[in-house]
Amino acid sequence: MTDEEATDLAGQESPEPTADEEATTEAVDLLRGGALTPSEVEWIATGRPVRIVVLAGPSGSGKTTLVGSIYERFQKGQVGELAFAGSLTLPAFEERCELARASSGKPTPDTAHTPRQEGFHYLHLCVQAPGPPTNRHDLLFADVTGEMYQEAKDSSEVCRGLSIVRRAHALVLFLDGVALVESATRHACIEDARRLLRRLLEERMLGPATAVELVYSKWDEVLSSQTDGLAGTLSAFDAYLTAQVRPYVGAVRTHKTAGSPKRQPELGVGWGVDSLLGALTAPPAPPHFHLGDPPRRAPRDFLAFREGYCAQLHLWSKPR
Amino acid sequence: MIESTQLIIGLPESGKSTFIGALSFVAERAEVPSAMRLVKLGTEDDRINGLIECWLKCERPGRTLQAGEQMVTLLLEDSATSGDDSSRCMLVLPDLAGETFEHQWTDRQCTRSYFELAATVNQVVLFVHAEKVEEPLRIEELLDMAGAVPESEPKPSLPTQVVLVDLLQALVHPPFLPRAMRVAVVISAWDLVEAVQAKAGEVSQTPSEWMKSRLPLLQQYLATHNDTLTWRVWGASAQGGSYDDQETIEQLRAEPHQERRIRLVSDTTTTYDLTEIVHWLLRGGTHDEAGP
Repeated sequence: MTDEEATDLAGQESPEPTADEEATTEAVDLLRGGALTPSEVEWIATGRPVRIVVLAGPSGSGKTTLVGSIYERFQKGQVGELAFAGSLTLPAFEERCELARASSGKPTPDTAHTPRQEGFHYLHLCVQAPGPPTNRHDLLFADVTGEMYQEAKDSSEVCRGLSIVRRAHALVLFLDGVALVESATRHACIEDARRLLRRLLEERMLGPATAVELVYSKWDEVLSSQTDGLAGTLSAFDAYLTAQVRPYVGAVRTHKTAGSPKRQPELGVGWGVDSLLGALTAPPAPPHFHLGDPPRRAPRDFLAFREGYCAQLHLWSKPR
Repeated sequence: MIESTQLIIGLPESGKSTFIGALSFVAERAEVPSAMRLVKLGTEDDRINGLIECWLKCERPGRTLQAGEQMVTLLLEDSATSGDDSSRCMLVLPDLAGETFEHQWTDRQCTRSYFELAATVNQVVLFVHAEKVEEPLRIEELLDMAGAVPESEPKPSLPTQVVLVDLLQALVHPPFLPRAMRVAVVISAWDLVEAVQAKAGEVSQTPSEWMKSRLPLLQQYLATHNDTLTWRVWGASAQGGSYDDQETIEQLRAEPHQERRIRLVSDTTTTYDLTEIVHWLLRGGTHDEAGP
């Protein structure tokens, strides 16, 4: 740069703005910082591998709280061996954390309910595992709203609309700790999760490329309550997962978490997310082959035919 | 031919103006040895002179600032190789008041002039004021604090470290191009950090240790990009003490060698020479270049 250029850089005042000066006051758009749209995700995914993480669970099961708590944990330091390596959606994370902060004026921590919206939107978090830069992972978190969760487990058509699950590195399925504590809601809670998993398997939405991460959320509620019979119920559910789900997916793991532990604040924000994040950034499981039939009555060939046919007609991912 | 341009960024009231005033004083005086010499002021001599004057009078530079973007430029050259074109660099503070950087978070926009400048830069000075680090409390943390009463109309609060990461990230995300950069993190009002630690009987932290404890998100971001970011942290006390204390002001004004008011602390050295930061960005160093 020459001195003259430097002079230009500093700018000269003149009474009438020239075309050049008008150009310098023009605003240039930066990245929005909001939750990413599918087309924005496509742009990221063309430059580097990304891991889509689909969060599914009933309304109020703590999906948004948990993701917000992961972000808050990184603000205090590393989470386990993982370090924060950036985010394209910092303002969106901030928005989600707002209601848990003293500045919100609320008496207790809260999280905004994720509204049902057209298409999925993603929160981006880049984390670095120990080692070279290739150990950096771009995680994209997408919510399946509580309403969609309820409908998908009951309807094949709605379930097939969750085409995002097919591209997911992980399906994080939430079981609400509050519901698990109460014997009146415990079995229904687990049954809902079981039915969604079965539906997803039947519709071939889950496969070996996707890991299933079971999250027992609000675990502080469980720790501070009498939970007779819960251990046995969860053990039976584990057995179901091992026998009926694990053979068809990349992995099945369970995690006990408390994003915002109101009952036991001493656990700290984002309790247990280390385990979940470790799983989400773990190397993909080696491909495995299951020789038995998938849990579906229709023959495999027919399913494959139907998949191809629907894809050809652009029906597979048509919004419903 | 100027080898490079260095960009100063940071939130409002993060010590940028005082730094420019003190650095200009050191770089301009031939009798004060420094790593970089001032070759030429930008066209806004009055702004630079005003900042030097405020610094010498121990006055806050805020009085000289007006709303809106005010660019300040300094042309500096390496003292050891003066005359060599490649030894020159332009230090640019695109917005004296810092509003540009604050609005960048809220509006997700920047001015065309800032864009054109920042798009070509790969040497950055990032300012953070040691006593203006916002760390929003969670509700349960507030309730734990005995006697704390929530404000009736609480102001929304943003974590400072999040905004700083956003500022840095923005330089390598669209519409900018990804590129390698050298980043000097300057923690201003470092004397206050040292005073607080001394009063509490704590072991003095190095600037890097302070950043890791107070701005862990920023520290992680820098450390995880060692492949593209070369960075170093300094603590800078450009004023020499608090301007709120009349006794301190009198002591500072009475100092015959005004450069001795300044303290620039790295993890390994202490000096009055603020131009060392510019020199490191221009030339690099033999140690402590990359983060841990």
